[in-house]
Amino acid sequence: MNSREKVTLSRRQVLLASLLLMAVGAVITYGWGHFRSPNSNVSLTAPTPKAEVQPTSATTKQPYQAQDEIIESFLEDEGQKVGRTLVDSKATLQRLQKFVDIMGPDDLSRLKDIVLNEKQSMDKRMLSAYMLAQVGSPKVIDLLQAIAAAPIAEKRRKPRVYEEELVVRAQAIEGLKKFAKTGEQRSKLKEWMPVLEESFLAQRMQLILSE
Amino acid sequence: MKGFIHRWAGIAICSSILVFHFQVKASQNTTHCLDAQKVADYVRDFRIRKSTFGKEDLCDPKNELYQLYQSLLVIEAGQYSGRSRSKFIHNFVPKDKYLAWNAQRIYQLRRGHDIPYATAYNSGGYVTVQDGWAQLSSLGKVGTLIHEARHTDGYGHTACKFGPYKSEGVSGCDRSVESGGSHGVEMEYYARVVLEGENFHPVYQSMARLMLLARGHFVFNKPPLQADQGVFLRGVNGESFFFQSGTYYRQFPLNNYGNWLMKRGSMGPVLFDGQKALSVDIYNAQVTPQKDEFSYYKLLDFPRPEPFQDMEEIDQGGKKYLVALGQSGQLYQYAFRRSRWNRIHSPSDYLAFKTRDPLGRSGLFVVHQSGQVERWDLARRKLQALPELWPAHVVDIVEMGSELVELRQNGQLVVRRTQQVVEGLPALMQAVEVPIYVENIGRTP
Repeated sequence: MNSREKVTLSRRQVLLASLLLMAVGAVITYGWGHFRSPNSNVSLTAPTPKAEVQPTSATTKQPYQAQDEIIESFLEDEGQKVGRTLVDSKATLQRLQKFVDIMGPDDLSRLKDIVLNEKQSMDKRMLSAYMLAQVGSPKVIDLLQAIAAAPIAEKRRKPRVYEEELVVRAQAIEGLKKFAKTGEQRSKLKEWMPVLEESFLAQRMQLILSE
Repeated sequence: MKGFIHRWAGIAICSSILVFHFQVKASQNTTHCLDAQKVADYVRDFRIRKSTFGKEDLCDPKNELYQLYQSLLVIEAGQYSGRSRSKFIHNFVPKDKYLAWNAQRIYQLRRGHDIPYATAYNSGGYVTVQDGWAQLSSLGKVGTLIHEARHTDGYGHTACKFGPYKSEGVSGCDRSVESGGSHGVEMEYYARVVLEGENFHPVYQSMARLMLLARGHFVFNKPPLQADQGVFLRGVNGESFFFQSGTYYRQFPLNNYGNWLMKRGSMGPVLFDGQKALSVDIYNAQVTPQKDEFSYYKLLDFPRPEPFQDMEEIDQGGKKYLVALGQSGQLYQYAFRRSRWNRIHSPSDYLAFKTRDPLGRSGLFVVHQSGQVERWDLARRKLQALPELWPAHVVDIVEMGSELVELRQNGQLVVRRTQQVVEGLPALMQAVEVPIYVENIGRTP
């Protein structure tokens, strides 16, 4: 009997505690981003940001492993906006740039996987390629090269689908442009270029290197 | 006591994670339902056969009808400002009347599964979108609708003369942008989105720009992004001339490269001596040829199975190919993915590569010392003998403007159609066609 009462009491205790702590957790979690870096307003959502993930400092950006689910959710949401009008292009660009700035190497690699996944929607793949192309750090070069040089499957060589496969790879090449200006990265890109088999992509890369 | 603290701590952590998770989800899932009245207008104006698309869900972006309505919404709500200058913009469609223009030409819109290789087709104004349409990006879906609408005006397609769709069994190209066919109006839309678009997503605009550049190379038989094929002519005494757009010649000081072959590189002419390649800057005649770092001839820097006597960089079916003829008479094709030269066919008395056959048709051909010519199908890795022999008195056959001309062994350049000698040139030793790309899609206002 005692034992039974003890168990009942414990369940109630857990239930009350859960409710109480969910409320506390909400305050802690929701408030965390605000208290953590008051100078930064990096937002993962638009137009009404509720969840915020921020670098440790507004000036020195540390790689931050954004959670897979947040990335997935962001891409899903933003991917749907790609095909809509009434877009504030500048604000959208800033939003994408800020999101990209806080992504760590694993997150960027995840974006590359999405770009090359034919089962994903083309808008989402294109968005991911576009976001990767906005990354300023050389750590993205390998990922962009992997996208640009990825073979196009025979079944995707039919009209229009083939063109979109080219475009998504060309977007990756656009991202390589900033690394092709001078120095060692330029030399490496020149060496790498002959792996491109698609005429259009090879030509785009050649134009970038000859600029 | 210890267990009690652990339990509470665990609950606290789990609660925080759960709350964070649901907050993020809640903020991300901004459901965007379409306006039912607007949708009803579209269904009426385009006579959309909803039942052919399956179930309608105005709040599910993955729903095909949702995507169709969204495409029409983008067509209607797209805003453009100013007047940009572009070879793609000819006012085929008034930019403030895109929706009405489409509605006037699409008498009925339905979903079908009857022609799997097509994205969509138009039969007398009755447009049927296929599985291929459903797989496309939002831009591709919009572009396809505009494209199909134009067919109602009687514009059809013609067989592609080059590019990835040349080998397709169906006609897929237009003559030119200016002819204002289905590809023309579709490309005009992309150009407007890029150059004049006001309220489009940056990714949509980027897609439009790259689509313009990609399709600009292969859906028109007169490609808008490629200037007339330039022709490089080399004199026996080292003088060189570049011919482009009818009458324009430039002289290049290539006197010291008499033993080098002039080849067509993807970025202009390339000098090749069997060991290395130098690129010639056609826009700066005074610049000495430099080590070629921009075309695929740079692969000469990598290990080769033997010295080469001839090489060719060529595009076929949208793919890049690099082939070589070894001094032993062995043919090679470069395998990009494996970064190595593959042997093709048995060695023979091959003499040189040509990019036109004796009748002037373009492609890749190998000429034997006997004059026999074989067409090299690069995709299938097959050589096929042609009935015509290479004429012994002809060195090269090239296209200058719209005329086929042949360079003869006596150094004269002769127009094939009229047999007239092209005047004003010294004795020549080589004539090479060089593709010149101009990627200028236009200027913003």
